[in-house]
Amino acid sequence: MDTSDTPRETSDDTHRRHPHPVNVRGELVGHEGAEELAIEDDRTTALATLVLGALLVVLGIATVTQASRLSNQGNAVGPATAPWVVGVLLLVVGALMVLRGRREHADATQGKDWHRTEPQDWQRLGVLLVALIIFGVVNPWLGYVVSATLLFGVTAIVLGAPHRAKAFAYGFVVAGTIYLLFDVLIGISLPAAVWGF
Amino acid sequence: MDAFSALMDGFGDALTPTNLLLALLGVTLGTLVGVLPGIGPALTVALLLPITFTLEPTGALILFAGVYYGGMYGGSTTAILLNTPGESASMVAALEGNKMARSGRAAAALATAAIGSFVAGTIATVLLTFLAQPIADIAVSFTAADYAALMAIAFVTVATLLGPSPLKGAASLLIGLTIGLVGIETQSGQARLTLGVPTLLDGIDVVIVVVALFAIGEVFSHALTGGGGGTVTPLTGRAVLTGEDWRRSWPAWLRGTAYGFPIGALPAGGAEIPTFLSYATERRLSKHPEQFGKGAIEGVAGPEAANNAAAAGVLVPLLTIGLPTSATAAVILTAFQSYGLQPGPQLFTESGPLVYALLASLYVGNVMLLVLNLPLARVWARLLQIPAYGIYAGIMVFATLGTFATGGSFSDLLLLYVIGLLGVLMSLAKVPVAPAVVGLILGPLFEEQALRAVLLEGGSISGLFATPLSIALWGVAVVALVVPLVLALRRRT
Repeated sequence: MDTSDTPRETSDDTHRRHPHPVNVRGELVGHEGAEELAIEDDRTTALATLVLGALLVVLGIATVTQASRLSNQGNAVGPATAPWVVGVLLLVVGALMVLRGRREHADATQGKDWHRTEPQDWQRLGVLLVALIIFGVVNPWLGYVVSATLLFGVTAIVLGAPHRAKAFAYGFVVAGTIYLLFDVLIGISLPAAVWGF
Repeated sequence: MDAFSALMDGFGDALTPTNLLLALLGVTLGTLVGVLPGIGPALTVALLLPITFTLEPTGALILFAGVYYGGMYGGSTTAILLNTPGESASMVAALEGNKMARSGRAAAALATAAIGSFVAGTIATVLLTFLAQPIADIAVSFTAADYAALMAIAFVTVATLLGPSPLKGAASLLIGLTIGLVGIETQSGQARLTLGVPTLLDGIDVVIVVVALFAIGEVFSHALTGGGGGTVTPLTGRAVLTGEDWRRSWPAWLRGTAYGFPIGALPAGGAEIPTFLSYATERRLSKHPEQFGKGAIEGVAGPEAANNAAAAGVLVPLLTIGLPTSATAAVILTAFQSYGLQPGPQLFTESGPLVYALLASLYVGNVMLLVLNLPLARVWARLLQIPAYGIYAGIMVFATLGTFATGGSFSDLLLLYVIGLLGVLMSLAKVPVAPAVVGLILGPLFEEQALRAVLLEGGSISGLFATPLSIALWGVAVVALVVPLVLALRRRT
């Protein structure tokens, strides 16, 4: 096949549907600066390393405390051994992670050229979390299909879907397919509302 | 019965209409999730685990193996057409593959990846078939100390080799081990780390952890940081190789297989290393070294073959010893467990027909994948045009499904979200999640074997070193731990 007239064939449809074609990662297809759009954020990585390290230390303390309350029932080793080992390792690795995070944070903030996560990024995360919790609350009443449709729609819109109605329509298709596949075919009982699905 | 006739019987089982259909479903799903960034075979198999309630073991395992193999094929499509690979093992193929695609040779790159995957997958499956029984025969005599030492090697290699730094790998592994501790301790009935919450008494379900870490973590961190960047290179022409492409590809496929299978089969941390070794070798041996970095076909053929051969290699320790060395293998192990089967030497004596049906299905799956990937390359390429919000909203909905499989109580959902937030933190800190999954599943098994080994020696720690083999294996574990640390320190200075 000659390549002269069809170099962009696979993206033709996307060109028609969206004014700015976006690929799977949400960037502009073929755009010069496409690769710049992702946030490569050393500062956030460093902070997250620090926080995760601190969390591991907390987990370590909890695990060691737990270990000290367990009994090996007279044997040298037993149910308490694994929590002791894991707990101590958690403390060590957690502490090292905190140190690593602090060092990387110092390095990252020295350089000028770092992007950073914006407040609205965290806002998006918050909306998604709330949507998930609402999903958990409403699905016994609204049934799986309706609540999953809502969850899909909200997630898609939060992540930048251009058409709201379409986002919910796609969501309904996805949720319906899942319901047919998993509930009807595989036999996992998904919550159903009074209308039966 | 020798392996060959057992395999022929296996084909008899694998070629029934139901099992053929399940294999086809598995490889199709696997390719799909391999192509789509954000979902991988581990997550897919975890979501499909509930199918074990309704399917008989052979069918379910054929389905899961299909997903596993399919994911490897699909990953290369993404690596070649989108310069950000979905999985780390495809990173190397992206180096040359994406360059080829950008210079209008996407079809050839996809073809050499698909045929190379087929060649490597088939050779590796042959090796797997005929090595499995002998290795299982050796493994019969393994003591608890040997098992504990083997698992220690797996812990060390998984933590140090998967991910950007040994420290972050270790952090991930420990998170998995800690989650694995939660619940009633089986020997004494004491509750561990349950924080007084009744739902935690049964432990935390593997499905919830895998879904939370892989799916929820992925969606949330996408919401925070956007994508990894990348542009889809359009696919033109048909996936065919010229004579020269063939000449340059086939030695690379064979060399890639030679790296991939043994390294995958040793508990040595998955598919990344053989792909890097293969790339370096092809670059050194190539008659066209000037093309490397600009789209050399050997640089796609070799690493992709290595990747697939390693995937088959990982099944050797999984089936013969019960030792998973990748996240997907770990989830497949839980599938075995949910049928009351324990992979290892006993599996071959007790469920021989099942094992050989599974192996036969791998040959069938490879053929299906070749057919699916060569003529249908364009269909898969189109999937890359699905916008990000659609993919991630879909992942979100699938993720919630994971909890209904395990009972669907609100507390399960909350657990999913809490571990999901942990997954976001891990993803932001660039901590790999695969070691956590391996730790979660292997941790309790390690505890059991290590405690048994120690109690056999009357409670002395020397029980862990009771046999010459176990001493040697512990030595390997220490070397595998120290070498990457030394390398990391040397790199820094």
